[in-house]
Amino acid sequence: MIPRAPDEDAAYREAYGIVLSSRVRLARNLRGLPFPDRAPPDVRADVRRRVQAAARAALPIQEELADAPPLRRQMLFEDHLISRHLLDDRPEAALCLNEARTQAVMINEEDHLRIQVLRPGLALREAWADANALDDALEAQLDYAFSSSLGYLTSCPTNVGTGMRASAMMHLPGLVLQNEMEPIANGLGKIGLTVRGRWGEGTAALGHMFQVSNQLTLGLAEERILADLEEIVKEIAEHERNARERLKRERKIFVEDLAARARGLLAAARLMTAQEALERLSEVRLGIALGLVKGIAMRQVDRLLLEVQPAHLQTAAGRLMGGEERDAARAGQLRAELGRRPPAATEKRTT
Amino acid sequence: MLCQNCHQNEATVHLTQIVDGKAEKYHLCEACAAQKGIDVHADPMDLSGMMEKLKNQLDHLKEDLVVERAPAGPATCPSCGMTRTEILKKGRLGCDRCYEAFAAEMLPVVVSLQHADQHLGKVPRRASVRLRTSVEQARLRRELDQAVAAENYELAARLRDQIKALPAEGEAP
Repeated sequence: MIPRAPDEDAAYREAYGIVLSSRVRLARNLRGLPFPDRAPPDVRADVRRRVQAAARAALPIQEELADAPPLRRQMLFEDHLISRHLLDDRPEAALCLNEARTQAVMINEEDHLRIQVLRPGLALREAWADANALDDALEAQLDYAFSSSLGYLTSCPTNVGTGMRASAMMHLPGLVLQNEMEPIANGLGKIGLTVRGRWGEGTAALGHMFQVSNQLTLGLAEERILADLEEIVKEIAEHERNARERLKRERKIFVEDLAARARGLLAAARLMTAQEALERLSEVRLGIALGLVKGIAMRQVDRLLLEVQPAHLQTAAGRLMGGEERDAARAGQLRAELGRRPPAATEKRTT
Repeated sequence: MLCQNCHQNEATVHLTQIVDGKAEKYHLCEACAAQKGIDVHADPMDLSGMMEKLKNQLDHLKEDLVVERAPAGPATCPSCGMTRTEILKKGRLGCDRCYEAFAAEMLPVVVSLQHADQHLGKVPRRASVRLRTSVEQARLRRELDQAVAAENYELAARLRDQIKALPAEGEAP
């Protein structure tokens, strides 16, 4: 047997405990053609064909989204590979992916191309380096719409310039529980950044998951936008660490109770909605980070955060399920993984 | 240091504004800064540190941008047929040419959304020398403004030389 490291989850917690992932997306359009919402079907089809051809070498996995069943689109959305916009049936929309599923181009979204790179942890610069290289490779075969004053021209003026939206996904239960999230959210707006919930709106974000991203795309070089964002993300992470420490020091019984109740529900419930699962998993995740929950790895919680979502659940089951059936299946999986093991048959009885 | 405005409170807000290439410094107390519409405090507890670090960017946002209004263009985009009314209603443009066709309407919108009117980022590799030079020049000018604001005249002189060394710019596109 391979000897186990004393705590193999420790490195994971250190790397991804607060910043789960980084994302860079670039909006690009082909010169002289109407944007997707305005383009007739034959133009969109032509754009799709040209982008698919240009992307084939770097992104060999290519699928049509227009013909895809809604469950497939939902699955890609839960995996962060397509935008909310493409959840709806968009004509001539397509997705190109690399083998690792870390680099993608959405075709005929709001813009002709949406280049996207995902990286685990805080790795904004690395994500940009990948996106930039992919952009260069595509541009070698595509003629982009670009102006010397407004940069890359996009369907919505909120993306014009670099066309870049960079974001970090952060787990911030400490700041939420200490009521410190709102001033941060308000302050970020004033320096050209925004924070929004990963699965919901505002500071009442589900599961304390937030996406911090740049708001401005014009008037700053990409490197500058990324450096500012990274600095702020690090700063927020530091505040989160402090908030967690204060929680443990000053409100230990409260946070211990929160995590223990969450664990109890996950281990025992017979029906569980996605919303409740995300919330309870987040509380357990906080408990793990603070060393108050033992025997569950953060890595496992993060996998579950994905797997309890509706499309993942139904894809794993291999069929579409109704609401209550889904809630039962979700509770079943959580119970199987986090519930108390039944006493082993060989267990010795004490006399 | 006392506030330059009321001469009563301690100045805690320090601003540099660039007027005609000259840096002017202001030292104000919070109350006077707020009165002048300068909002540098989101939340002193958490964000003053962040704000300080991003001061340059903040100054950039504060910078007054004057948008020259182009004469009102056509009612529809000659390339995609999108109408002005449609664009203003949807907040989306029809094609890349719309930006030119509706410059009079779009430029103020872009400036109010982005607090900027000049791209300083990546330029496509296949872009013409003229396009590349024009963005590079804008970038150097911005750096020059910042160098002057920081009273770093050595850097400013170097940047001026770099701007002069750029290939002569053709007509603006």
